[in-house]
Amino acid sequence: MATGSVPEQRLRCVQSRVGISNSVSSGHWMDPARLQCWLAGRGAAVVPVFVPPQLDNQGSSNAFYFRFKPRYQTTRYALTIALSSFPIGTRLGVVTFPVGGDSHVVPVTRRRGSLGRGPTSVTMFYDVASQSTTEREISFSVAETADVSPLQIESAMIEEVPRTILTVDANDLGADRLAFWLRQAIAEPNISDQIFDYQNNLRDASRRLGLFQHSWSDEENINTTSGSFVDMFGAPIGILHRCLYSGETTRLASWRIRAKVSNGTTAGEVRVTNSAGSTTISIPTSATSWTWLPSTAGAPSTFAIDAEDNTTANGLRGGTDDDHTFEYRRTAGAGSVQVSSISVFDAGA
Amino acid sequence: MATSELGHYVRFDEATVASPSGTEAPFSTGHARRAIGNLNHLADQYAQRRIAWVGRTLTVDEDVIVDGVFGFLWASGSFDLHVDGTGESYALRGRLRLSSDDAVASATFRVVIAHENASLPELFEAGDHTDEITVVRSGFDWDATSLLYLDAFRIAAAQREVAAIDAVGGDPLSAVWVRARMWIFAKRQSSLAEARLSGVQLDEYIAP
Repeated sequence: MATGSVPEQRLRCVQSRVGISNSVSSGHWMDPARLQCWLAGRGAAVVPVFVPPQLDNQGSSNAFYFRFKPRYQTTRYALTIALSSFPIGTRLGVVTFPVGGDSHVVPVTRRRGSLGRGPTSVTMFYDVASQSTTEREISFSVAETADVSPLQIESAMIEEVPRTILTVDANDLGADRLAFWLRQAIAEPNISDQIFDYQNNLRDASRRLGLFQHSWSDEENINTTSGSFVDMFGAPIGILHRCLYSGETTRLASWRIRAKVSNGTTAGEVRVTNSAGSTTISIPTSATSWTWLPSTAGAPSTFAIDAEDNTTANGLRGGTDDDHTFEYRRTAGAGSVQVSSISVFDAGA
Repeated sequence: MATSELGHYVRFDEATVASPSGTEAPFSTGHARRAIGNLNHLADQYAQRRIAWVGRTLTVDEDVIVDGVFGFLWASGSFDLHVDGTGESYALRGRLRLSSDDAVASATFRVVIAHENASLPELFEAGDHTDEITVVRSGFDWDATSLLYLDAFRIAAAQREVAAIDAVGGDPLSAVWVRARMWIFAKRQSSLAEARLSGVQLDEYIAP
């Protein structure tokens, strides 16, 4: 089966070389084939670096869950985490990636580290059982086992590990770079089948997977009994989507929440508000154990986010970030509404 | 617009781009040029969100905080960066949620992007990978950094080999990725102020 190698850096194809009456050389197609392999093979950020609030996990553990739509090309994920503890007494933490998977012992330092450059950053891997683009969950847990002082997560992020070789098919989206090499015959079927015909699939694969991913952990979830909306972060955060088409000013993002209620007569909701308006996810009375909402039996909820403006110096549309405020409240009953995670992700074109 | 001459993705009819095509549609110079432009645009828009958090309040962590002297505030873990054809990283659009905790006295924040093993002297070198922001405010607000990037020399210092696999259950191979971190140091003008951080955004961007 034909394969394509993944370069370490992208290049910029020179479009002006392809024009009516211009001679066509193999050089015209070497660069697009290489760029296609770069796009398909370089990994994306699944969970951008996030920092949960102060944890109180002395002698216990915290589990963090996220949802996203993976790229087919991904075979391995990497979790990079940095832990601190103060007053220092807990010198080792146990990180499990994903929850129920392999455990790793991670060094713990004071926040500033021993050299004033911060805590130790450690990376660990998780291999998928099958390649897929079906929306899925990813998770990790942190355990404080010394029972001395709580562990804090100074930084955690999940990334796709890059590939080195892609298969030339409609899923992996590799281009056989040797078929586009110098002195090779320029075969139109190669151009049609490997580059042109994969364009729309590549458009769907080249996403910004994680737009905003946050988890408080199941164990130290945030909760409210308020009937009025409460700001979940105490501040807004900016999110911009990618811009694909001419004239596009917004794009739809997908989102789910991981939530539950304290008893079967309590219900709630989470609302996100940005420049386009507000969208709500309901937490029903039946959600008495941790569950993703809307239910994963169906599609995620969606809302419009400003698309990046690639004509401006910094990409901001209208000169401002599209600030998002996440709020929640109780809508029925006398119990509490609890939220563990919010996942906002790009589910494709 | 960035690297594609049209600045956007051109939609082709789905039947035209069906893979594999049972009957190939005519493929003209125009198709070719648009297809290549699409690759450029997709690569531009494949810019990733690298950091996004808000909420937790952090202050300088030093045994002794001296007025006018930078101290450690926060550092991210290591993350990958896309590398452009010049060998430089994609540009990085940063945003920090900052406070000096005082309406009169200021706090100055130094943000640095560098390879994961950068020494303290390296983190205080001048360059396009760093910016400083001074604020005077009791509460918090978001402040944007200038567009940051790692030049080719700094990207080379940040590249590491990683054990990748190309197939489910496959043997590990050596791939190359970037291991960069963001550091934030801060100093206060006087003891009236306290440098505070409660959010960071870092997004890749291909500028026009």
